[in-house]
Amino acid sequence: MAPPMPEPGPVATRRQQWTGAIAIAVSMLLLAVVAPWAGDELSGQHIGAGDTLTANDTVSLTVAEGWSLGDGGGLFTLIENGDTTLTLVPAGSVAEFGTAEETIATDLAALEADPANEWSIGEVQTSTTDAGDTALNVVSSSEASVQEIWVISDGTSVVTLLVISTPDDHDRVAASIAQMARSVRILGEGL
Amino acid sequence: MSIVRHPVTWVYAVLLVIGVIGLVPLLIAAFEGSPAGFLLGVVLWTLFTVLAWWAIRRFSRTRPRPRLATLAAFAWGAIIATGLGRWATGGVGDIAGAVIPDEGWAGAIAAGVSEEPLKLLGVFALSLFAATRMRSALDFVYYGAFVGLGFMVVESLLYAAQGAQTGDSPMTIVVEYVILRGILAALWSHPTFTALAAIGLAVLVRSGASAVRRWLAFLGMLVLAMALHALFDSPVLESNMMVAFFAKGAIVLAVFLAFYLPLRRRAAREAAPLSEETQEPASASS
Repeated sequence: MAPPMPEPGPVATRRQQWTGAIAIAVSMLLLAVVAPWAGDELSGQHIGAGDTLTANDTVSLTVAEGWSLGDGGGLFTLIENGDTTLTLVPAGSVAEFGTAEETIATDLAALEADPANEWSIGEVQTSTTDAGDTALNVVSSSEASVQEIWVISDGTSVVTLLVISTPDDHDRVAASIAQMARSVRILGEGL
Repeated sequence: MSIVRHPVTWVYAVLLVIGVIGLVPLLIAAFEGSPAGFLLGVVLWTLFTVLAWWAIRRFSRTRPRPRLATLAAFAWGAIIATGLGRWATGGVGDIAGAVIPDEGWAGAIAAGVSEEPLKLLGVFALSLFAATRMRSALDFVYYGAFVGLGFMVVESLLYAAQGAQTGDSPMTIVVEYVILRGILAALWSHPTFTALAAIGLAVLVRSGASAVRRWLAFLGMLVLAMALHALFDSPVLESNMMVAFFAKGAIVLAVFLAFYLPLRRRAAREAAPLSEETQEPASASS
């Protein structure tokens, strides 16, 4: 025969019940709300729409809605939005890295030579940033991914934005990528 | 007093809703990543849950506990701790990553530091209800094991489904996860960590010792559970995964048994003469 059910546990007083309920709620708040906020602050992941993002003090851009800071490994500045990542490469001198046209031609040649993917490379578009610099961009796509390259130059320095996305996600974020590219400001010559 | 008027009932209900909000997107993503792998995982982890449930109840059959309270403990681990854990563990992980240079240790410590309190709060919530009949430390161990079981099953289901997305043979990966994280790790996984921490909680809320001693016991056992959890997840011995798995698992189990077996012997000693003479149940242990 199964043993009888033991007696009920001690009855918590009304004060103990409320103290317990508040302790549980506060603990959960600390773990699920305060800890993520503190983690964002400590890891530098806290970034929002309108914030200015810089790379190596040589280039800045204004972050669009929906983007958050990713881990760029210290060398590059990387932001993310869904399946899309945007890498902001610090400015380099035209004398060292070539003009905007030469830089984008080098990038496209690397895509054409990619043995792993067959890229469909679009037309190079020319526009002007809010700061008045020349911006070249091109969108290339393969079966599984989309690459968008922006090369911006003020004649002395050249900056590259590399976007890697999926065909589905790229359509969603294309406008915000263009908005951020137009906001790029070259602050110094860099390397 | 009606359970509906108990404030912890309402805190539990709100946390349950938040847990569902946190958990459902993860389950949907896991399903979309590998529908067949996810469904197989649901079936296998349900079978594992039934077996583990029966085993824990059978092992503690000399002192039966209410089924509804047991279910509430399991649901805390399966829904509330995992649902809120997506935010808590990520946040603590970012904090750990900012101060600990080694990525493997940072992740391991973050898991222990965030998940153990999340689960133990469920045992604390249940201890505030007389109907759970939590008098002795063994009662706390029992509910701790069920909270941990709920957490282990849902977390492992998500991991298995994620693993199934990346491999060539999703079904094989899901079965491997059940064998490794379920059957082989059953004695040194979340149920063990939470049961260990629950022993300290029993001292805090049921012992007649001084407040300082009760808090020291509680914090000591919680930190011990966190440390064992972190050790098990850590990169120690990572060059040989199987040796690491069994060696670290054996340490976790040995530490748990070092606390659990004396409690069980003591409860047996106290219960035997009392049951013959006065029919009084064993009072709070420790």
